[in-house]
Amino acid sequence: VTAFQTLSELIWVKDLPVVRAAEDFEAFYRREYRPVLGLAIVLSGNRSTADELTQEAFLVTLRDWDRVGRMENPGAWVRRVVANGSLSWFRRGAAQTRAMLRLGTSNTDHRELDVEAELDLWREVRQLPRRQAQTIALMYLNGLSRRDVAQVLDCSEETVKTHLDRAKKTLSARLEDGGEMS
Amino acid sequence: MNIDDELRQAGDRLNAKLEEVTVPQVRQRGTRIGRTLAVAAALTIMIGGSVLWLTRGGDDGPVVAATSTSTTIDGAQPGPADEPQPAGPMVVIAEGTFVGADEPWRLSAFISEEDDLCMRLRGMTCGPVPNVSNPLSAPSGTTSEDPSEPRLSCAYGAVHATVFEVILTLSDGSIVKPPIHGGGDIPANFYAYCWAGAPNYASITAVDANGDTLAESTSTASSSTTTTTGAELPAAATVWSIAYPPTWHRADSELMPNLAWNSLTLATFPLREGGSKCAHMPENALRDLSPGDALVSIFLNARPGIGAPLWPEDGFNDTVFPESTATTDAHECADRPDLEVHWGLWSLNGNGHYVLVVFGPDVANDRRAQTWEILSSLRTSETSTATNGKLCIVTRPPQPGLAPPAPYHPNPSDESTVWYGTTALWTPLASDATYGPRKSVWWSSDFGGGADEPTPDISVTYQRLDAKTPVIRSRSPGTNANTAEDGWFMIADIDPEPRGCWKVTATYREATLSYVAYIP
Repeated sequence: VTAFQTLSELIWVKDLPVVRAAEDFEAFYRREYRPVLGLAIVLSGNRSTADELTQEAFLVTLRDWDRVGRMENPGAWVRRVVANGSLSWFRRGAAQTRAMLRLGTSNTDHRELDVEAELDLWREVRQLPRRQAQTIALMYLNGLSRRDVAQVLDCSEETVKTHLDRAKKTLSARLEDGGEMS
Repeated sequence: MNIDDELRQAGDRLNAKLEEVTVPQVRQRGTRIGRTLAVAAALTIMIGGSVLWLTRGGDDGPVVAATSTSTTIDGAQPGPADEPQPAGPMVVIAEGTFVGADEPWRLSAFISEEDDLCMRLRGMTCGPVPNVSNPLSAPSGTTSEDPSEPRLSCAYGAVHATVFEVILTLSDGSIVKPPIHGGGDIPANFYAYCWAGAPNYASITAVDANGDTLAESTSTASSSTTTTTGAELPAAATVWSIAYPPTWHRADSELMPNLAWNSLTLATFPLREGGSKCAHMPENALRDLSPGDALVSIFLNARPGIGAPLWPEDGFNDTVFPESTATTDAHECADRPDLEVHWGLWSLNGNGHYVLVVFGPDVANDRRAQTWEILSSLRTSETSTATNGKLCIVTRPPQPGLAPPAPYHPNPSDESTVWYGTTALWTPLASDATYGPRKSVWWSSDFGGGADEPTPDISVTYQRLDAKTPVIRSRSPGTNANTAEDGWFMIADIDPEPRGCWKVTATYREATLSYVAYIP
């Protein structure tokens, strides 16, 4: 057991249906890395943490690729890992610490992606109840359909719609209160 | 613009930015790592049977991921075959012994010339691991998630159900109810890694809100319980000092009793210990924090200082230590999204110290400045060693000291001391926070002198902070005294002799004054 191997053990990642032959992991990884990183950035609010979450999610995926790769939607599975992982302060705390230890000397991230400039609205999103925040990020950042979001979040499409409506209502109210957020 | 458009545009902008991100390469193990690994900031955690190896190169370097197996982990033992052995000195971060077992555990780190950090963990497992059936999601190892934290006995898992609480029954019959994070429609993570020195758990039970058992698992009781070294203050104790006004409230490690780190918390309001949600944050104190209040927590020697910014020589302020932009554990543990939280790891004397500074939403500027000044005043005169041993953080009186009202002299007759306290109760403390033989002497503007009050009702207690010993109390009412220079004052009937870290508290009428001193 290693600390890195605990992600799927600490965070329940319910399997999705296994329906097909696994595609090449490399191709999957190259296609999904950036959107999954984006999801992690939005949900964690921190680039270093997002890097960690993304790497660990793909690492877990790689380890189980024989199984995950044959699922109907491996992309939904890796997003579920990230979504659940970003909820846990336990993971986030450990990831931030490791990121700090590994990546440099500062508590502040100054790396290539100017995350802060893009996070004003996403910060508001992150203040939403967690399922609502995940729904918004998956739909408007990753461009997922309601059906795909439902698969990631392991809920019904109707529930996704409820999360979406409530989230947009809250954000609209905040937008009116605070002016332009982005 | 409506919210739909706002969100779409925000998504497009972030996706455009993401296109600029270089996708790291993934390689299976066996790829020649060579120089890449040598310059990588590497963190390797190896516990027991299998090893997962993850390194990250520089900004343009590859990510190398692989799995391997290894049977024994030793601080001096090479890892996988192609792992370069860090060349630098080994630093022992923490160590201990399993009671009744042969295996000691030791957490150590190598520091290479490139400032790589490679942590090694030996023997951190805590006995047999139960296989827990659903809905408990197999906590397949009782290991520390974060090996640099000197926690000895650990359990964790995820509960895919709406649980009310998780109960760990330890093999000695005691019960631990770890905090649960999540719940409801998301998996609830639980973990209980804070019982240093405690035995293995004998059973683990998840119950719902009605008290009905959802799942239960029992493990074989093991003799491999754990203990810590350094429970008593070591001979070469590291004595820290910090300057804070007597009107601030202070709590030491008792505020977060389940946290293994030494901690100090100072706040502008009374500090309530514990909490039901988080063991690693002053949860109840944060819940009590009013809009105008401030709080500082310092978690000393929490980890190596490598990689952390240096403790600022010119002191802390909002610029040096900016507010955390993301939601922090302090927000979540106290359910207080309104708090202004500054949270980070800082390096002082080679060790890493977590610092938590919290302001209420309406804190005044002078209180904010005072808070930074207090944090900046933390000092230690010697290079400290990371250890499980208790540290002593003594009170250093702020300069200038209290200026008592007339007719009292503005400074104590002993020039190496300054007045500390309030006009209701004050005492001299050494400017450098050292402690020499002294009587327990106290001044108060409410004390009218020997004629009015020959046996003043002053009571003093000495409470050990570095060991569990009985509280020493003054034996009888005090006596009065007078000198030409110092005027009327009170002497408490108490003279503690034992060395150690003491919290001294005096009470006279409605006034209370505390300070912490290390008696060598």
